Amino acid sequence: MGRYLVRRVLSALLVIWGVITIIFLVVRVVPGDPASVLLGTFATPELVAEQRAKMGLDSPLLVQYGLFIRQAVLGDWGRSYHEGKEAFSLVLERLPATMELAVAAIAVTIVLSFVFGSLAARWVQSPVDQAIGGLSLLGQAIPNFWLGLVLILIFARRLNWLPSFGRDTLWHLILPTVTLSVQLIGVMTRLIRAGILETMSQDFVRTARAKGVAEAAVLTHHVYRNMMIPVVTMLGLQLGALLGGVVVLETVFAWPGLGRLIVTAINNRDYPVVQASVTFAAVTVVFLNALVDLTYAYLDPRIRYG
Amino acid sequence: MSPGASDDASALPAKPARPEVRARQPITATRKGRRVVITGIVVVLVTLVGLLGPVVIPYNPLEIRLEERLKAPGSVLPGGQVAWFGTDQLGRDLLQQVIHGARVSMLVAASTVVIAGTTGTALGVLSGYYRGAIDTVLMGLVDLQLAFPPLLLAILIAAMLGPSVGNVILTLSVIRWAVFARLARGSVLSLREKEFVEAARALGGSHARVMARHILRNILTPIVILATLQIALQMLAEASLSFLGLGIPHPLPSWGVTISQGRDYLNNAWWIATVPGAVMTVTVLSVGFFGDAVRDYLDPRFGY
Repeated sequence: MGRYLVRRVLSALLVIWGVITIIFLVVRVVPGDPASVLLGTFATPELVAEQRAKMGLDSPLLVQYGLFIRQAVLGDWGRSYHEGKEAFSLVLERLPATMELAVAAIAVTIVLSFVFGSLAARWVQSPVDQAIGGLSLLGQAIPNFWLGLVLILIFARRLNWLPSFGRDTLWHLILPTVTLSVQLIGVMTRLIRAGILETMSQDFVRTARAKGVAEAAVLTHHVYRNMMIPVVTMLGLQLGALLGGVVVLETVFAWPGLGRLIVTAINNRDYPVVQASVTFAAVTVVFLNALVDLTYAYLDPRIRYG
Repeated sequence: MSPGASDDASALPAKPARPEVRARQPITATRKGRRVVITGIVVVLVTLVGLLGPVVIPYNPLEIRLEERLKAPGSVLPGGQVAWFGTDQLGRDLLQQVIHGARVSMLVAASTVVIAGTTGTALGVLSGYYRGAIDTVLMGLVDLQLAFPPLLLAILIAAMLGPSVGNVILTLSVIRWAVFARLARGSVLSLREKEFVEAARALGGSHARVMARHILRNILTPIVILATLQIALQMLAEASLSFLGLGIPHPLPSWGVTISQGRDYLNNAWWIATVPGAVMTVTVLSVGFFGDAVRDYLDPRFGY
């Protein structure tokens, strides 16, 4: 396990380095001059040159790359052009809001997709199964930002039950969480249903039933336990999609998190904040995925990494 | 649809007879085949509406009729024309915008899947065929790309490139090639050891010929399946980018742009934001059904 851990951490570090390099390439090599964009159309060439020097854009690409890596490692991305604060501290300020939303959505997803998936598997091919199957497909097809707006329209504007935007009370969390989890629930329900059906047909389930284990205990002790790995893997793989959803939905619900920070920074051409927030978000997803890999050994004691 | 897939397999006739029977039967002879046809018709219809709609109903996105603004769906405009989906904040007909949106959505989704699909497949075939250093480098890139949250990367690239139809196509092609490359490589790995590949080489076929004629043809089925499933994802990605103002530039009508504009009019004109999204959901759903039907028909074991 120790050697595996080291190997896994090293490969995660390699991917993180790659991710940072991609961000550097996109930000620096894609056409468009941040300095002139920042100064607007009326800037004189001298002013633009000065600004380029200030941003380090006039040094050779390799030097800029070295500087970029340094910034990424130290979290020192410079000050926000817009707010004057440290870019990285802005990211950290916004983090709790996004974590709150993401954790709530994952929790809702786990509970509901286990319930729906189990119901569908319990009554395979029945109307219940078909309805759940249809709904999970629908959940994956609905554009989440549109669903968010429809929910706002119904529950905030028409019925006046829930607040439509901002982050204040627990009530504010409901609409964004529901919207964010709908697609995930669709994906996970299908997976869990298939997993249960497959595990149910295994010999050890028949043995457990034969020796008189109650059906509920068969499900919790034998079936769920044995399908945890694909479920956790899929949840890990969905983290990237979840992050994409967060970016879009925080804009819809004016949720003061990392996603909203990224979008406003992009609109304001606030490059230090764009770099800091995108790098932080991407690295976090890679890191969490590595963590998911490490939980396998815990979930399935048969797995021993040599 | 995977729910039905596993159960249908057991209902099929005995295995040995199957390949022969399928070869002679028309596609409509089996339930799975009929599903491909039915869902395919829906997709073709939506595409036709997108392609021909603008010809039948000419629409100028710049034409502003402030006196007709925010009319509810079904309103009759002074010219006797009925605004079935209502009008937006500038008096533009929403039905026309939705049709144009379908056109953009289809164009972007289809072209990005073709670009990402061909590039990814080509690189995957090279990688799996030659192995060695090229494989290590390419698959390293694939792992990297798949580790990067796709929409985040798309947002970053699109923000740097600026909004335009071409840039959206470029951006969304970049974020999808890796899936195709990985699938193609995996399929090639097992194929390259087969006797017919060895035979083709022994007969003097060049590497390029063997790859194009023998290997590519044999991996096409999973690639086509993956491509049909990716179309729906690309439609959603394009709409998200456009919604954030990073995709299709204003005033070109796209579903994402129209929905985003309707956001400010939720109270007095709910239809601007809701109608395009409903049309989009139905479209994505039918494209998704089509993809699932194609997968079940071609290969029920394919696990995507």
